[in-house]
Amino acid sequence: MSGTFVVHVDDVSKTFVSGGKKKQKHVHALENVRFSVSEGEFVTLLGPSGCGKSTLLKIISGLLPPSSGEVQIGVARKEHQPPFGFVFQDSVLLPWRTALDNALFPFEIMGNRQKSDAHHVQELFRLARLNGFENSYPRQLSGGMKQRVAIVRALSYNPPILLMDEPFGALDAITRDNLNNLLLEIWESTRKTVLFVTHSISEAVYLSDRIIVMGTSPGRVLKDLRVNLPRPRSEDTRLAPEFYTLVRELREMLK
Amino acid sequence: MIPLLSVGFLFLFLGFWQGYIVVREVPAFILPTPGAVGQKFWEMLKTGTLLREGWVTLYTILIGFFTGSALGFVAGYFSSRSRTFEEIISPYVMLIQATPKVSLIPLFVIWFGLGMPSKLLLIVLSAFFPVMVNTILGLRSVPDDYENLMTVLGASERQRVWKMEIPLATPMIMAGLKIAMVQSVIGAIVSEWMAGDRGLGYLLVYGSSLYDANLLMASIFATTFLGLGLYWSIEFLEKKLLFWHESRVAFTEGTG
Repeated sequence: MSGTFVVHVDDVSKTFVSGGKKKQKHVHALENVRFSVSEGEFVTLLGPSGCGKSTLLKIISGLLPPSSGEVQIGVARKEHQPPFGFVFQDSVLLPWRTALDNALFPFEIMGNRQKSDAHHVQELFRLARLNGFENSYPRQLSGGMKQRVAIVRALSYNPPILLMDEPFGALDAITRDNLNNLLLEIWESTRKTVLFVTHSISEAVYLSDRIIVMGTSPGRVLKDLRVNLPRPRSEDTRLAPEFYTLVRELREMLK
Repeated sequence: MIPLLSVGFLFLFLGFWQGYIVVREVPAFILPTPGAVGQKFWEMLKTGTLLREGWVTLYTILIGFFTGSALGFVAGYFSSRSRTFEEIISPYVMLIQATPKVSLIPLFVIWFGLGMPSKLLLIVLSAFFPVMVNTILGLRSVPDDYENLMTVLGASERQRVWKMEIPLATPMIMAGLKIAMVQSVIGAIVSEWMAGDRGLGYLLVYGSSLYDANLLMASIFATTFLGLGLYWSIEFLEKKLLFWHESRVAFTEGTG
Protein backbone atom coordinates (compact mmCIF):
# COMPACT_ATOMS: atom_id res chain seq x y z
CA MET A 1 0.00 0.00 0.00
CA SER A 2 1.71 3.16 -1.14
CA GLY A 3 0.26 6.65 -1.19
CA THR A 4 0.24 7.01 -4.95
CA PHE A 5 -3.13 5.47 -5.74
CA VAL A 6 -6.57 6.56 -4.64
CA VAL A 7 -8.41 3.47 -5.76
CA HIS A 8 -6.72 0.11 -6.15
CA VAL A 9 -8.76 -2.77 -7.53
CA ASP A 10 -6.85 -5.92 -6.66
CA ASP A 11 -7.79 -9.07 -8.56
CA VAL A 12 -11.52 -8.61 -8.07
CA SER A 13 -13.92 -11.30 -9.27
CA LYS A 14 -17.66 -11.40 -8.89
CA THR A 15 -19.92 -14.36 -9.49
CA PHE A 16 -23.69 -14.16 -9.26
CA VAL A 17 -25.51 -17.35 -8.40
CA SER A 18 -29.12 -17.72 -9.50
CA GLY A 19 -31.71 -20.49 -9.66
CA GLY A 20 -32.65 -23.25 -7.23
CA LYS A 21 -30.55 -25.88 -5.48
CA LYS A 22 -30.43 -28.33 -8.36
CA LYS A 23 -30.10 -26.01 -11.33
CA GLN A 24 -27.73 -23.39 -10.06
CA LYS A 25 -26.48 -20.93 -12.63
CA HIS A 26 -23.19 -19.16 -12.09
CA VAL A 27 -22.73 -15.90 -13.93
CA HIS A 28 -19.19 -14.59 -13.97
CA ALA A 29 -19.82 -10.88 -13.94
CA LEU A 30 -16.18 -9.99 -13.31
CA GLU A 31 -13.00 -12.03 -13.52
CA ASN A 32 -9.63 -11.01 -12.11
CA VAL A 33 -10.02 -7.29 -12.60
CA ARG A 34 -7.06 -5.21 -11.50
CA PHE A 35 -6.14 -1.58 -11.99
CA SER A 36 -5.27 1.52 -9.97
CA VAL A 37 -6.43 5.09 -10.17
CA SER A 38 -4.14 7.97 -9.16
CA GLU A 39 -5.20 11.09 -7.41
CA GLY A 40 -6.98 13.62 -9.62
CA GLU A 41 -7.25 11.22 -12.53
CA PHE A 42 -10.33 10.96 -14.73
CA VAL A 43 -10.75 7.27 -15.48
CA THR A 44 -13.55 5.76 -17.52
CA LEU A 45 -14.77 2.17 -17.49
CA LEU A 46 -15.93 1.54 -21.05
CA GLY A 47 -17.67 -1.54 -22.36
CA PRO A 48 -20.85 -3.02 -23.80
CA SER A 49 -23.76 -3.79 -21.50
CA GLY A 50 -23.16 -6.95 -19.53
CA CYS A 51 -19.42 -6.41 -19.15
CA GLY A 52 -19.83 -5.78 -15.43
CA LYS A 53 -18.73 -2.15 -15.41
CA SER A 54 -21.61 -1.02 -13.22
CA THR A 55 -21.08 -4.01 -10.96
CA LEU A 56 -17.44 -3.01 -10.65
CA LEU A 57 -18.40 0.52 -9.64
CA LYS A 58 -20.76 -0.89 -7.02
CA ILE A 59 -17.99 -3.08 -5.65
CA ILE A 60 -15.60 -0.13 -5.48
CA SER A 61 -18.17 1.94 -3.59
CA GLY A 62 -18.91 -0.91 -1.20
CA LEU A 63 -22.50 -1.37 -2.37
CA LEU A 64 -21.65 -4.94 -3.38
CA PRO A 65 -19.05 -7.29 -1.89
CA PRO A 66 -16.60 -8.90 -4.32
CA SER A 67 -16.58 -12.72 -4.54
CA SER A 68 -12.81 -12.61 -4.33
CA GLY A 69 -10.10 -10.01 -4.36
CA GLU A 70 -10.34 -6.62 -2.72
CA VAL A 71 -10.64 -2.91 -3.29
CA GLN A 72 -8.31 -0.54 -1.45
CA ILE A 73 -9.14 3.09 -1.04
CA GLY A 74 -6.08 5.26 -0.51
CA VAL A 75 -7.58 8.42 0.93
CA ALA A 76 -7.79 9.80 4.44
CA ARG A 77 -11.25 8.98 5.73
CA LYS A 78 -13.30 11.54 7.57
CA GLU A 79 -15.60 10.29 10.26
CA HIS A 80 -19.28 9.81 9.30
CA GLN A 81 -18.44 10.66 5.74
CA PRO A 82 -18.05 8.38 2.75
CA PRO A 83 -14.95 8.99 0.60
CA PHE A 84 -17.22 8.86 -2.47
CA GLY A 85 -19.84 10.91 -4.12
CA PHE A 86 -22.07 8.71 -6.29
CA VAL A 87 -24.02 9.84 -9.34
CA PHE A 88 -26.50 7.30 -10.69
CA GLN A 89 -28.00 6.92 -14.14
CA ASP A 90 -31.24 8.38 -12.84
CA SER A 91 -30.92 11.59 -10.82
CA VAL A 92 -32.48 9.91 -7.73
CA LEU A 93 -33.60 13.27 -6.35
CA LEU A 94 -36.19 13.40 -3.58
CA PRO A 95 -39.16 14.96 -5.39
CA TRP A 96 -40.60 16.69 -2.31
CA ARG A 97 -37.41 18.68 -1.74
CA THR A 98 -36.14 21.71 -3.61
CA ALA A 99 -32.89 21.51 -5.59
CA LEU A 100 -30.98 23.14 -2.74
CA ASP A 101 -32.51 20.87 -0.09
CA ASN A 102 -31.63 17.88 -2.25
CA ALA A 103 -28.04 19.06 -2.47
CA LEU A 104 -27.92 19.49 1.32
CA PHE A 105 -29.52 16.09 1.93
CA PRO A 106 -26.20 14.27 2.58
CA PHE A 107 -25.51 16.58 5.53
CA GLU A 108 -28.88 15.75 7.00
CA ILE A 109 -28.02 12.05 6.83
CA MET A 110 -24.46 12.42 8.12
CA GLY A 111 -25.38 15.08 10.64
CA ASN A 112 -22.17 17.04 10.40
CA ARG A 113 -22.98 20.18 8.50
CA GLN A 114 -20.54 23.04 9.02
CA LYS A 115 -21.18 26.69 8.30
CA SER A 116 -18.80 26.62 5.35
CA ASP A 117 -20.72 23.77 3.72
CA ALA A 118 -23.69 25.90 2.72
CA HIS A 119 -21.27 28.28 1.03
CA HIS A 120 -19.57 25.40 -0.75
CA VAL A 121 -22.89 24.10 -2.04
CA GLN A 122 -23.83 27.58 -3.22
CA GLU A 123 -20.54 27.70 -5.11
CA LEU A 124 -21.29 24.31 -6.70
CA PHE A 125 -24.69 25.57 -7.84
CA ARG A 126 -22.93 28.39 -9.60
CA LEU A 127 -20.37 26.02 -11.14
CA ALA A 128 -23.18 23.77 -12.41
CA ARG A 129 -24.99 26.86 -13.77
CA LEU A 130 -27.92 26.13 -11.52
CA ASN A 131 -27.96 29.45 -9.70
CA GLY A 132 -31.48 30.76 -9.64
CA PHE A 133 -32.91 27.25 -9.45
CA GLU A 134 -32.12 26.57 -5.80
CA ASN A 135 -35.77 26.67 -4.81
CA SER A 136 -37.14 24.73 -7.78
CA TYR A 137 -38.60 21.28 -7.27
CA PRO A 138 -37.23 18.38 -9.35
CA ARG A 139 -40.44 18.20 -11.43
CA GLN A 140 -39.80 21.79 -12.56
CA LEU A 141 -36.32 20.91 -13.85
CA SER A 142 -35.30 19.29 -17.14
CA GLY A 143 -33.53 15.92 -17.21
CA GLY A 144 -30.14 17.57 -17.68
CA MET A 145 -30.71 19.99 -14.82
CA LYS A 146 -31.79 17.20 -12.49
CA GLN A 147 -28.59 15.35 -13.29
CA ARG A 148 -26.60 18.51 -12.52
CA VAL A 149 -28.32 18.74 -9.13
CA ALA A 150 -27.34 15.10 -8.58
CA ILE A 151 -23.70 15.98 -9.34
CA VAL A 152 -23.84 18.93 -6.93
CA ARG A 153 -25.30 16.65 -4.25
CA ALA A 154 -22.53 14.09 -4.79
CA LEU A 155 -19.88 16.80 -4.40
CA SER A 156 -21.61 18.71 -1.58
CA TYR A 157 -19.64 17.08 1.24
CA ASN A 158 -16.43 17.38 -0.73
CA PRO A 159 -15.53 13.70 -1.12
CA PRO A 160 -12.16 13.04 -2.76
CA ILE A 161 -13.60 10.51 -5.21
CA LEU A 162 -16.55 10.89 -7.59
CA LEU A 163 -18.16 7.71 -8.92
CA MET A 164 -20.48 8.09 -11.90
CA ASP A 165 -22.60 5.24 -13.26
CA GLU A 166 -23.69 6.15 -16.80
CA PRO A 167 -24.85 9.53 -15.50
CA PHE A 168 -25.80 10.93 -18.90
CA GLY A 169 -27.07 7.69 -20.44
CA ALA A 170 -30.72 8.72 -20.33
CA LEU A 171 -30.20 12.17 -21.86
CA ASP A 172 -30.44 13.28 -25.47
CA ALA A 173 -27.19 13.71 -27.44
CA ILE A 174 -27.13 17.52 -27.32
CA THR A 175 -27.74 17.74 -23.58
CA ARG A 176 -25.19 15.00 -23.12
CA ASP A 177 -22.46 16.92 -24.96
CA ASN A 178 -23.21 20.05 -22.95
CA LEU A 179 -23.08 18.13 -19.69
CA ASN A 180 -19.77 16.54 -20.73
CA ASN A 181 -18.30 20.04 -21.04
CA LEU A 182 -19.83 21.14 -17.77
CA LEU A 183 -18.52 18.05 -15.99
CA LEU A 184 -15.00 18.77 -17.25
CA GLU A 185 -15.27 22.36 -15.99
CA ILE A 186 -16.38 21.16 -12.57
CA TRP A 187 -13.65 18.53 -12.55
CA GLU A 188 -10.99 21.07 -13.49
CA SER A 189 -11.98 23.40 -10.68
CA THR A 190 -12.53 20.75 -8.00
CA ARG A 191 -9.82 18.25 -9.05
CA LYS A 192 -11.62 15.17 -7.84
CA THR A 193 -10.59 11.68 -8.75
CA VAL A 194 -13.35 10.52 -11.11
CA LEU A 195 -14.38 6.99 -12.02
CA PHE A 196 -16.88 7.22 -14.84
CA VAL A 197 -18.90 4.38 -16.37
CA THR A 198 -20.24 4.62 -19.92
CA HIS A 199 -20.88 2.61 -23.07
CA SER A 200 -20.34 5.61 -25.32
CA ILE A 201 -16.92 5.48 -26.96
CA SER A 202 -16.77 9.17 -27.89
CA GLU A 203 -17.88 10.24 -24.41
CA ALA A 204 -15.12 8.10 -22.90
CA VAL A 205 -12.44 9.53 -25.19
CA TYR A 206 -13.60 13.11 -24.73
CA LEU A 207 -13.64 13.02 -20.93
CA SER A 208 -10.90 10.70 -19.78
CA ASP A 209 -7.24 10.59 -18.90
CA ARG A 210 -7.43 6.83 -19.07
CA ILE A 211 -9.94 4.36 -20.42
CA ILE A 212 -10.30 0.89 -19.01
CA VAL A 213 -11.84 -1.13 -21.81
CA MET A 214 -13.91 -4.07 -20.65
CA GLY A 215 -15.24 -7.14 -22.45
CA THR A 216 -18.10 -9.52 -21.74
CA SER A 217 -18.57 -13.09 -20.50
CA PRO A 218 -16.73 -13.08 -18.28
CA GLY A 219 -16.49 -9.35 -17.54
CA ARG A 220 -12.80 -8.50 -17.70
CA VAL A 221 -10.32 -5.78 -18.56
CA LEU A 222 -9.33 -5.87 -22.24
CA LYS A 223 -7.07 -2.88 -22.22
CA ASP A 224 -5.91 0.02 -20.08
CA LEU A 225 -5.57 2.90 -22.49
CA ARG A 226 -4.09 6.35 -21.90
CA VAL A 227 -5.78 9.29 -23.65
CA ASN A 228 -3.18 11.88 -24.53
CA LEU A 229 -5.44 14.57 -25.91
CA PRO A 230 -4.54 18.04 -24.58
CA ARG A 231 -6.56 19.70 -21.83
CA PRO A 232 -8.65 21.69 -21.38
CA ARG A 233 -10.77 19.91 -23.92
CA SER A 234 -13.30 21.69 -26.07
CA GLU A 235 -15.40 21.24 -29.19
CA ASP A 236 -12.10 21.38 -31.16
CA THR A 237 -11.01 18.21 -29.38
CA ARG A 238 -13.91 16.34 -30.96
CA LEU A 239 -12.67 17.40 -34.40
CA ALA A 240 -9.01 16.51 -33.87
CA PRO A 241 -7.62 13.57 -35.89
CA GLU A 242 -6.16 12.02 -32.71
CA PHE A 243 -9.69 11.90 -31.30
CA TYR A 244 -10.88 9.93 -34.33
CA THR A 245 -7.92 7.59 -34.26
CA LEU A 246 -8.71 6.69 -30.66
CA VAL A 247 -12.43 6.29 -31.30
CA ARG A 248 -11.70 4.01 -34.25
CA GLU A 249 -9.21 1.97 -32.27
CA LEU A 250 -11.70 1.47 -29.46
CA ARG A 251 -14.49 0.60 -31.85
CA GLU A 252 -12.30 -2.15 -33.36
CA MET A 253 -11.48 -3.44 -29.91
CA LEU A 254 -15.13 -3.65 -28.84
CA LYS A 255 -16.40 -5.33 -32.02
CA MET B 1 -69.30 27.19 -18.61
CA ILE B 2 -68.82 23.62 -17.43
CA PRO B 3 -70.02 24.28 -13.83
CA LEU B 4 -73.09 25.97 -15.30
CA LEU B 5 -73.85 22.91 -17.44
CA SER B 6 -73.34 20.71 -14.38
CA VAL B 7 -75.93 22.66 -12.42
CA GLY B 8 -78.20 22.59 -15.46
CA PHE B 9 -77.91 18.80 -15.48
CA LEU B 10 -79.06 18.70 -11.85
CA PHE B 11 -82.20 20.71 -12.68
CA LEU B 12 -82.84 18.48 -15.68
CA PHE B 13 -82.65 15.44 -13.39
CA LEU B 14 -84.99 17.00 -10.81
CA GLY B 15 -87.39 17.97 -13.62
CA PHE B 16 -87.52 14.38 -14.92
CA TRP B 17 -88.05 13.09 -11.40
CA GLN B 18 -90.98 15.48 -10.83
CA GLY B 19 -92.34 14.94 -14.34
CA TYR B 20 -92.27 11.14 -14.06
CA ILE B 21 -94.31 11.27 -10.84
CA VAL B 22 -96.89 13.61 -12.37
CA VAL B 23 -97.25 11.77 -15.69
CA ARG B 24 -97.24 8.19 -14.33
CA GLU B 25 -99.15 9.14 -11.17
CA VAL B 26 -96.64 7.38 -8.91
CA PRO B 27 -97.94 7.19 -5.33
CA ALA B 28 -95.93 9.22 -2.82
CA PHE B 29 -95.13 6.20 -0.60
CA ILE B 30 -93.21 4.66 -3.51
CA LEU B 31 -91.50 7.74 -4.93
CA PRO B 32 -91.96 11.13 -3.24
CA THR B 33 -91.39 14.36 -5.16
CA PRO B 34 -88.00 16.10 -4.94
CA GLY B 35 -89.72 18.94 -3.08
CA ALA B 36 -91.15 16.58 -0.45
CA VAL B 37 -87.78 14.88 0.05
CA GLY B 38 -86.07 18.26 0.37
CA GLN B 39 -88.65 19.35 2.88
CA LYS B 40 -88.24 16.17 4.91
CA PHE B 41 -84.45 16.60 4.82
CA TRP B 42 -84.75 20.17 6.08
CA GLU B 43 -87.21 19.12 8.79
CA MET B 44 -84.89 16.32 10.01
CA LEU B 45 -82.02 18.75 10.01
CA LYS B 46 -84.02 21.21 12.13
CA THR B 47 -85.17 18.66 14.68
CA GLY B 48 -81.59 17.45 14.95
CA THR B 49 -82.33 13.86 13.95
CA LEU B 50 -79.95 13.93 10.99
CA LEU B 51 -77.14 15.58 12.92
CA ARG B 52 -77.54 13.27 15.90
CA GLU B 53 -77.66 10.05 13.89
CA GLY B 54 -75.14 11.36 11.36
CA TRP B 55 -72.72 12.12 14.19
CA VAL B 56 -73.03 8.55 15.52
CA THR B 57 -72.20 7.20 12.06
CA LEU B 58 -69.42 9.73 11.55
CA TYR B 59 -67.49 9.01 14.71
CA THR B 60 -67.90 5.28 14.31
CA ILE B 61 -66.38 5.62 10.84
CA LEU B 62 -63.57 7.86 12.07
CA ILE B 63 -62.54 5.62 14.99
CA GLY B 64 -62.76 2.49 12.82
CA PHE B 65 -61.00 4.06 9.86
CA PHE B 66 -58.09 5.46 11.86
CA THR B 67 -57.62 2.28 13.87
CA GLY B 68 -57.85 0.07 10.78
CA SER B 69 -55.55 2.26 8.67
CA ALA B 70 -52.96 2.59 11.41
CA LEU B 71 -52.91 -1.18 11.97
CA GLY B 72 -52.82 -1.73 8.20
CA PHE B 73 -49.88 0.62 7.85
CA VAL B 74 -47.92 -1.06 10.65
CA ALA B 75 -48.70 -4.54 9.32
CA GLY B 76 -47.78 -3.46 5.80
CA TYR B 77 -44.54 -1.94 6.98
CA PHE B 78 -43.43 -5.08 8.81
CA SER B 79 -44.50 -7.39 6.00
CA SER B 80 -42.47 -5.36 3.55
CA ARG B 81 -39.37 -5.85 5.72
CA SER B 82 -39.40 -9.61 5.23
CA ARG B 83 -40.21 -11.23 1.93
CA THR B 84 -40.52 -14.63 3.61
CA PHE B 85 -43.10 -13.33 6.07
CA GLU B 86 -45.01 -11.67 3.26
CA GLU B 87 -45.04 -14.86 1.22
CA ILE B 88 -46.29 -16.88 4.19
CA ILE B 89 -49.20 -14.58 4.96
CA SER B 90 -50.11 -13.44 1.44
CA PRO B 91 -52.53 -16.32 0.64
CA TYR B 92 -54.43 -15.61 3.85
CA VAL B 93 -54.49 -11.91 3.18
CA MET B 94 -55.92 -12.66 -0.24
CA LEU B 95 -58.50 -14.99 1.29
CA ILE B 96 -59.69 -12.40 3.78
CA GLN B 97 -59.63 -9.72 1.11
CA ALA B 98 -61.81 -11.82 -1.16
CA THR B 99 -64.35 -12.30 1.64
CA PRO B 100 -66.97 -9.55 1.48
CA LYS B 101 -66.55 -8.06 4.94
CA VAL B 102 -70.27 -7.42 5.36
CA SER B 103 -70.87 -11.17 5.32
CA LEU B 104 -69.15 -11.27 8.71
CA ILE B 105 -71.65 -9.01 10.46
CA PRO B 106 -74.12 -11.75 11.43
CA LEU B 107 -71.25 -13.60 13.07
CA PHE B 108 -70.10 -10.47 14.90
CA VAL B 109 -73.65 -10.00 16.17
CA ILE B 110 -73.55 -13.47 17.72
CA TRP B 111 -70.18 -12.74 19.28
CA PHE B 112 -70.50 -9.14 20.36
CA GLY B 113 -74.21 -8.36 20.17
CA LEU B 114 -75.84 -5.35 18.55
CA GLY B 115 -74.17 -1.97 18.66
CA MET B 116 -70.78 -0.40 18.65
CA PRO B 117 -68.28 -3.31 18.97
CA SER B 118 -69.66 -5.18 15.96
CA LYS B 119 -69.80 -2.02 13.89
CA LEU B 120 -66.27 -0.98 14.79
CA LEU B 121 -64.78 -4.39 14.12
CA LEU B 122 -66.26 -4.43 10.64
CA ILE B 123 -64.95 -0.94 9.80
CA VAL B 124 -61.50 -1.74 11.18
CA LEU B 125 -61.37 -4.82 8.96
CA SER B 126 -62.61 -2.85 5.94
CA ALA B 127 -59.91 -0.19 6.34
CA PHE B 128 -57.09 -2.52 7.34
CA PHE B 129 -56.54 -4.50 4.15
CA PRO B 130 -56.43 -1.80 1.47
CA VAL B 131 -53.96 0.20 3.55
CA MET B 132 -51.81 -2.84 4.33
CA VAL B 133 -51.64 -4.04 0.73
CA ASN B 134 -50.84 -0.59 -0.64
CA THR B 135 -48.22 0.08 2.04
CA ILE B 136 -46.42 -3.13 1.06
CA LEU B 137 -46.68 -2.22 -2.62
CA GLY B 138 -45.45 1.33 -2.03
CA LEU B 139 -42.50 0.34 0.12
CA ARG B 140 -41.55 -2.45 -2.28
CA SER B 141 -41.53 -0.22 -5.35
CA VAL B 142 -38.82 2.13 -4.10
CA PRO B 143 -36.21 2.09 -6.93
CA ASP B 144 -32.90 0.37 -6.13
CA ASP B 145 -30.79 3.45 -6.70
CA TYR B 146 -32.63 5.33 -3.93
CA GLU B 147 -31.59 2.52 -1.59
CA ASN B 148 -28.06 2.65 -3.00
CA LEU B 149 -27.88 6.40 -2.43
CA MET B 150 -28.81 5.94 1.22
CA THR B 151 -26.23 3.16 1.58
CA VAL B 152 -23.49 5.30 0.05
CA LEU B 153 -24.39 8.14 2.43
CA GLY B 154 -24.27 5.71 5.36
CA ALA B 155 -27.90 6.27 6.39
CA SER B 156 -29.25 4.50 9.45
CA GLU B 157 -32.21 2.15 9.12
CA ARG B 158 -34.43 4.80 10.66
CA GLN B 159 -33.29 7.53 8.26
CA ARG B 160 -33.75 5.17 5.34
CA VAL B 161 -37.34 4.46 6.33
CA TRP B 162 -38.50 7.92 7.38
CA LYS B 163 -36.55 10.18 5.05
CA MET B 164 -36.94 8.15 1.91
CA GLU B 165 -39.00 4.95 1.83
CA ILE B 166 -42.19 6.17 3.49
CA PRO B 167 -42.30 9.51 1.64
CA LEU B 168 -41.71 7.70 -1.66
CA ALA B 169 -44.49 5.22 -0.78
CA THR B 170 -46.96 7.96 0.15
CA PRO B 171 -48.74 8.10 -3.24
CA MET B 172 -49.52 4.39 -2.92
CA ILE B 173 -50.47 4.66 0.74
CA MET B 174 -52.81 7.56 -0.01
CA ALA B 175 -54.49 5.50 -2.73
CA GLY B 176 -54.98 2.78 -0.10
CA LEU B 177 -56.45 5.29 2.37
CA LYS B 178 -58.97 6.42 -0.23
CA ILE B 179 -60.18 2.87 -0.81
CA ALA B 180 -60.20 2.33 2.95
CA MET B 181 -62.41 5.39 3.46
CA VAL B 182 -64.95 4.28 0.87
CA GLN B 183 -65.00 0.79 2.40
CA SER B 184 -65.37 2.23 5.90
CA VAL B 185 -68.44 4.24 4.95
CA ILE B 186 -70.03 1.18 3.32
CA GLY B 187 -69.08 -0.93 6.33
CA ALA B 188 -70.62 1.56 8.74
CA ILE B 189 -73.94 1.88 6.90
CA VAL B 190 -74.36 -1.85 6.34
CA SER B 191 -73.45 -2.75 9.90
CA GLU B 192 -75.97 -0.22 11.17
CA TRP B 193 -78.70 -1.93 9.14
CA MET B 194 -77.93 -5.24 10.70
CA ALA B 195 -76.35 -4.58 14.04
CA GLY B 196 -77.16 -0.99 14.80
CA ASP B 197 -79.59 0.71 17.09
CA ARG B 198 -78.34 4.17 16.10
CA GLY B 199 -76.91 5.98 13.09
CA LEU B 200 -77.86 6.80 9.51
CA GLY B 201 -77.87 3.13 8.53
CA TYR B 202 -80.39 2.43 11.26
CA LEU B 203 -82.48 5.36 10.04
CA LEU B 204 -82.61 3.71 6.61
CA VAL B 205 -83.96 0.44 8.01
CA TYR B 206 -86.38 2.35 10.20
CA GLY B 207 -87.68 4.34 7.19
CA SER B 208 -88.03 1.16 5.19
CA SER B 209 -90.03 -0.61 7.91
CA LEU B 210 -92.41 2.37 8.14
CA TYR B 211 -92.79 2.60 4.35
CA ASP B 212 -91.70 6.21 4.83
CA ALA B 213 -90.11 6.96 1.48
CA ASN B 214 -89.51 10.58 2.46
CA LEU B 215 -87.50 9.57 5.50
CA LEU B 216 -85.66 6.93 3.48
CA MET B 217 -84.61 9.22 0.68
CA ALA B 218 -83.65 12.05 3.00
CA SER B 219 -81.44 9.57 4.87
CA ILE B 220 -79.91 8.30 1.63
CA PHE B 221 -78.94 11.86 0.74
CA ALA B 222 -77.48 12.33 4.22
CA THR B 223 -75.23 9.27 3.74
CA THR B 224 -74.21 10.57 0.32
CA PHE B 225 -73.13 13.90 1.81
CA LEU B 226 -71.31 12.15 4.65
CA GLY B 227 -69.40 9.89 2.24
CA LEU B 228 -68.57 12.79 -0.06
CA GLY B 229 -67.31 14.93 2.83
CA LEU B 230 -65.05 12.17 4.11
CA TYR B 231 -63.69 11.41 0.66
CA TRP B 232 -62.96 15.08 0.05
CA SER B 233 -61.10 15.30 3.36
CA ILE B 234 -58.80 12.50 2.21
CA GLU B 235 -58.34 14.15 -1.18
CA PHE B 236 -57.49 17.41 0.54
CA LEU B 237 -54.89 15.67 2.70
CA GLU B 238 -53.49 13.99 -0.40
CA LYS B 239 -53.20 17.29 -2.22
CA LYS B 240 -51.27 18.79 0.70
CA LEU B 241 -48.96 15.81 1.16
CA LEU B 242 -48.33 15.00 -2.48
CA PHE B 243 -47.85 18.49 -3.89
CA TRP B 244 -44.72 17.10 -5.52
CA HIS B 245 -46.26 14.06 -7.22
CA GLU B 246 -46.77 13.75 -10.97
CA SER B 247 -50.50 13.11 -10.70
CA ARG B 248 -50.78 16.56 -9.09
CA VAL B 249 -48.30 18.22 -11.43
CA ALA B 250 -50.17 17.25 -14.57
CA PHE B 251 -53.27 18.76 -13.03
CA THR B 252 -51.76 22.11 -12.02
CA GLU B 253 -49.92 22.48 -15.31
CA GLY B 254 -53.07 21.75 -17.24
CA THR B 255 -54.98 24.53 -15.53
CA GLY B 256 -52.10 26.99 -15.41
